[in-house]
Amino acid sequence: MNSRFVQRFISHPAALPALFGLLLILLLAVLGHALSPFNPVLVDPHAQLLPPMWQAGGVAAHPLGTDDLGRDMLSRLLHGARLTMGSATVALLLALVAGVLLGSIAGLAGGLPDLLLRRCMDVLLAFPSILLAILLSLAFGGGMTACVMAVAIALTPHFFRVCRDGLCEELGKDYVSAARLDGAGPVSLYLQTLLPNLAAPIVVRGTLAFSTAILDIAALGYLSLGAPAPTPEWGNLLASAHDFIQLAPWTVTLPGLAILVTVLCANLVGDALRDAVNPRGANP
Amino acid sequence: MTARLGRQLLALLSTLLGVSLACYLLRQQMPEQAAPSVLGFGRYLLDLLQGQFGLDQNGDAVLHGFLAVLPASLELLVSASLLAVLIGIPAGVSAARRHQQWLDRLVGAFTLVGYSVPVFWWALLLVLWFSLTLDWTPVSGRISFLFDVEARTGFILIDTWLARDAYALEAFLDALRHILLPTLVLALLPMAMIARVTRAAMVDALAADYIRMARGQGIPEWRLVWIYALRNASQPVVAVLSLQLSALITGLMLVESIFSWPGVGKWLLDALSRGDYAIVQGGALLLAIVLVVMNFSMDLLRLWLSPPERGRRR
Repeated sequence: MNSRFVQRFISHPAALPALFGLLLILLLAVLGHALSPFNPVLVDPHAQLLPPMWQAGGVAAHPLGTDDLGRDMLSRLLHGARLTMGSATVALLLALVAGVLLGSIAGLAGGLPDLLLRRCMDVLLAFPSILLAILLSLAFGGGMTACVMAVAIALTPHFFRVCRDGLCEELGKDYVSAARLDGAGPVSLYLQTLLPNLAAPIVVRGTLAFSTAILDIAALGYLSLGAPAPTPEWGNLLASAHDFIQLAPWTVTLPGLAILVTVLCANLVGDALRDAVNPRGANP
Repeated sequence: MTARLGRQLLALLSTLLGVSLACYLLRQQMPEQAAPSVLGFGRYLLDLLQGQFGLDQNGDAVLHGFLAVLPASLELLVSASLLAVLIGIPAGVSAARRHQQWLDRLVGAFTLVGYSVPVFWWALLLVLWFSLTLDWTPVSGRISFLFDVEARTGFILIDTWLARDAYALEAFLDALRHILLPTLVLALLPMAMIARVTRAAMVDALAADYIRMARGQGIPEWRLVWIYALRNASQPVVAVLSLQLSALITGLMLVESIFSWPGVGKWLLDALSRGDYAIVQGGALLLAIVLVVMNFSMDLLRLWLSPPERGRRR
């Protein structure tokens, strides 16, 4: 993290607002329990389908309105932020560790292990996250675990590719030979010479994968392949609002907007990071 | 070239083997199945090679069910890809030609939103506006139940065209109106992807020396951009698309489920909620095989697009 890098990142017009937006959303997700005015699964028969407070008929007690069972939308969205982003983070970290580990093995070992691992990743690429979630829920029972596993497995090949291709490229460069001639052992060569140069592309890939993970987890929740029904996961919120789309459009627009803003911020940060790491910005 | 093709074919076969192994291992995790064994996998493979992908609850072959719903999915996939290419490539090219100007920024903003919108939410919004509020398009299905179209190819747009009876045109227009919204929804992500990668690749290609040289020779500008530069820029586009193919299939399954489009995704999800596990397992394997083959053909296309790579070892 040198200052030139930070300068290039800041010079991107949307980078700082998006970074602060993302941090704010993360803060809201962490503090969701304390901030939400109601219990997110509390059913209130006297407050069904109340519109947001800026529309006619809205009340200040429910600033973003309520759903068909009278549950407070603001509380559900805040709790959903924690669930959706929490599981997206877990999936991302799992994929990161697995992808970097396997990618390093493939890139350093070369030959047969490389070939086998690359074939394995091709196999994983043949299973979209929904298909994986369906198969895993059949084999191990559904729920959040299968959903997070499915997203993590679907993301692994991306990290594998960044790490393996990066290693192959770096290994041929002069500074690596210099370190080797200096007597660096394989472990220190990997940890001190190669890994710092791979960190930037991996972080960039990670930011962009975070947005994919959020979208995938919400999609699985929408298809009720993820968290069970009353849980206020963002995709679940959309699924339960599906039948009231005409009667109560806010129950559909608000969770979707929450997903859109979060993913947009993550993508903007990812783009700015990529431009800062790689000023030419050619490869996507 | 032949060696390269042979290597690709070998990779295809080993990937297919890996995909069936993964499906076999997952299948053996089911409660009533035996522990996985080499012999069991051999028997499973032998069944697959004979086209036996299992029987559903009614005793029908899963393969037949899959082949019956595949055309609907392919139809949607093809129409969405066409729309994505027809809009995405010109958008990317024009953005690259006006690098750092307002059109470039507009395309950039559009692609960013296209990347970030949740597909199912976008679908619901379009349904809310076009179907429920404006009443322009139908909410779900492939064609109104008033029309009785004989299934010859399984592609509804072709079938209604082939029917040639008194209501053929009405049926065709009705089918067109049914496919409009699902296509718009599904095309958003690949369109954004294509526009973005095309723009980046074209910025590089247009700055290359051979373009300056060709410009100096007096070759017309449209030829430079649309033929010379675009051909060289098309290779990264195909590369990125093949990596994002599984995201496209995820979108396809969501769209099918939302619009009740009778394709592979809806078939699988319905079978899952019915508890017809034979369909889910056989169908998932078949879908994965289709994806592997699509990826393979993308690789071939990339090989064909890049002359220097034709003879080179990877």
